[in-house]
Amino acid sequence: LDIPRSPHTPYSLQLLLDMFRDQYLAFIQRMNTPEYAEDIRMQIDKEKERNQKLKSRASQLDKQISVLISDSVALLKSRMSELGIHAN
Amino acid sequence: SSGRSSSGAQSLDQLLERQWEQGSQFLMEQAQHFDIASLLSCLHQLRTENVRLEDHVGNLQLRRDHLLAVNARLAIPLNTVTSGPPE
Repeated sequence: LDIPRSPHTPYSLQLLLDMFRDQYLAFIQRMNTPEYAEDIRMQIDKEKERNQKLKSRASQLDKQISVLISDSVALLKSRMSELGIHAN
Repeated sequence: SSGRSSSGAQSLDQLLERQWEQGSQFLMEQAQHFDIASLLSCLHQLRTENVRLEDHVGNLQLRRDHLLAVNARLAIPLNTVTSGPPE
């Protein structure tokens, strides 16, 4: 199927578009190879690993934060008791 | 979601963004033929989640550091505060 081209396409634009076409063609060919699928699988594994690390970091921080909050409360109570205020 | 090439972009950002969108949409369509579309969408999903998690971890770190600073101040007995905390 012939695609009608604008007759006014400047030469430099035609060069750019041809370059894009070649890049797309090369990439589509690459996508059709087992190496590409393997590459994507490896990236997925890496992201899964990163996902695990981030999740354990988040839960570690969550624990630290709840410990710090109970420390805060205890410290606040002792400062208040210095003022003669005994809160529960 | 945007129309085909007919509508002109109003800014450089808009042009490049549209090309990025159309290019990735095109490549994903091509990927359907090669049976790697599911792999690519899996990767994309993971990356999106990891970006969100990174943000979440960053916020938790800020919160933790803030609490550490607050506790450091609360740890000073009141009678010593009269000299003025170093802040």
